[in-house]
Amino acid sequence: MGNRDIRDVLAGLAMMGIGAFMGWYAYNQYDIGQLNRMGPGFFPVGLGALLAVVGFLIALPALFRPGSPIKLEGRTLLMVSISIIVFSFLLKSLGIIFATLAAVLISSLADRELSWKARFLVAIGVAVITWAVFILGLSMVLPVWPWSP
Amino acid sequence: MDIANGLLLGLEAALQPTTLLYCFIGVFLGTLIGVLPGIGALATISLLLPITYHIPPTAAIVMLAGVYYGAQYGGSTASILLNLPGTPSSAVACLDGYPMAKQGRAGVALFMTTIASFVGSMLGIAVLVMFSPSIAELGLKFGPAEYFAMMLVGLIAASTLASGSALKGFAMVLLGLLLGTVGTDVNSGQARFNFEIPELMDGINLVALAMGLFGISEVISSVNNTRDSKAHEKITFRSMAPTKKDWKESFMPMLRGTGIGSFFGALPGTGASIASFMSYAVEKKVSKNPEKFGHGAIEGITAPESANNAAAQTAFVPTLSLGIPGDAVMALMLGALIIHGIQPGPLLMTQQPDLFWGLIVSFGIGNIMLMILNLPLIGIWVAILRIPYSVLYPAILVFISLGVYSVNNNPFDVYMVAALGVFGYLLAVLKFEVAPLLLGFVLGPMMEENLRRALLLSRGDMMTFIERPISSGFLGFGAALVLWTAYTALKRSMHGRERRLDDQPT
Repeated sequence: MGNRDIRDVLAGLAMMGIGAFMGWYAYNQYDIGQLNRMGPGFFPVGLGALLAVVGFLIALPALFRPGSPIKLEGRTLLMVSISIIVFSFLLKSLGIIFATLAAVLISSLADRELSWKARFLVAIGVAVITWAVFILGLSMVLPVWPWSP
Repeated sequence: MDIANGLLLGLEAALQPTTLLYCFIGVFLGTLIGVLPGIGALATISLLLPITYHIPPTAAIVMLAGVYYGAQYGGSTASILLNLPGTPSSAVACLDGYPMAKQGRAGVALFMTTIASFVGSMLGIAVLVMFSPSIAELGLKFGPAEYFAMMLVGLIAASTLASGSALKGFAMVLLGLLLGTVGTDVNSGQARFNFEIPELMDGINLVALAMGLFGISEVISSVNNTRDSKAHEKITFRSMAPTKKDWKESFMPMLRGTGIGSFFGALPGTGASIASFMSYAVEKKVSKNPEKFGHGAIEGITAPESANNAAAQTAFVPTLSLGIPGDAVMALMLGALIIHGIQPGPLLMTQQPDLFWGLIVSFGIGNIMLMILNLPLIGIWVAILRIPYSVLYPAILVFISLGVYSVNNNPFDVYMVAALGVFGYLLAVLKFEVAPLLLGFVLGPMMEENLRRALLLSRGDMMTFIERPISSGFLGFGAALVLWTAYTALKRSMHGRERRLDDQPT
């Protein structure tokens, strides 16, 4: 099993899982109706079942052929998503300048080769550009500083 | 209204100062993000969508369209200089463009791709003008069965003709359709898949979905990827002058590329990327000395560049005349129209002629602007390629977050982008193409609506899709596509060789 096409096995299993779950959920929760008068459940149940079948067809042949290993940029994934969440969390309370500084500093951690000095410079630069584009240019109504109304 | 009057009306609308300004902004941004690898037209258009709330509808659509076809111009610059495609549809330009640059002919390659882009676009616009009115007229006769069948064929084409595995493309289409069912069902008022989250009652936000799947996931996969190469070439005007032989060898390939591009652009479900690959394959096949391809053959860049630009223009045929988007970018364009309260469809041309013709004329004006932007100013774009990605991507992330936030002033949408970004990245890691997903997402509610209506009218008789001639024609074409794909897949596995475009080194 060492060098099987793990990527497509996982891909197929993921689709099977999503399809089965959404189809099953719709089947239990919503009215299916008949062909001439479909209920809200008809379309999702059909699609879910079909997706599960397609997922199976993706996974099955992948079990019998060699594949290349999966490359996952875990650190980048983590830093990028944290930076977005932090940004929207801080936006209303601290204003866009500090929210942007925090978000840029966090997201720049994804890039291992950047120095801390460069990270701060990028953060300040992006904060200024963001302020210029969204507040000055597009006059969006957002707090700029923590003490702004 | 005949075509001449339409064009006159369009000229009037397109020459409005605001429209001209937004047209320029669109093509400028399009070239910029086309040049830069790691950010594409889809991400940029979704980024600009919230901003278009504040400007007039014609100017908004003109700008978004400008980004799309502008990106087709810029895309080949990075392909030629860095061997790294700026946009997916210019991946083919690496094959012969980069060898040309290594032979010291980068200037000629950049010049000829711009010319090829211009030729392809202008002829593509001519095709758009000639065919849209008659297709719209045909579209007026379509009932729900025809619409359903046509969308089905579009989705089949999107999954089977895309690069990579057809089954995986099909899975993405289905997933997109399923995500499209989230929210309140228009027929029964039943909320579906909302999991007690009030924000999900209105469905998944299109802007959040597009930015998550394309913007965020593009950033995640590019951060530690795009650093190795730097453009060193100095492009002088003298170095850009092509020889007589270059012109002669490019003339027919440009025309063939335009033809192929126009066809695949207008066909729902296929688009610029497929068109450029196809036209490269065709040139290699018809060439008297195919062995020079891959070693700096000029027709290897001019034909695909004409093809992807022609396709970018003719992609508007089904979108504008039938209200059916052919690919993910057009799906966003359709979303933008709907945001502005404009119902795209066969009636658009008669009800909003200034928008329809204004848009078409703006394409022509935009392409002339692009010629000017790309020939004398090529040095600027080459310089832009030297901006490190580590400076760009944090800005992209902040812009995406703010853009999504501004749609509803709701932090929930931004959390949604983060979640969808992670999801989109995982899909990309598993080698799924996410573009068909977005197409399915936009078409989903329309398909369900038309399916329900068609079966209501036929009292539940499925034969209605086969008895109606236009609908059965579409379904027959779809069935042929499926059979052909299954046949080639079987043949390939018989020969036991894995030949996938996405696994080839570019």
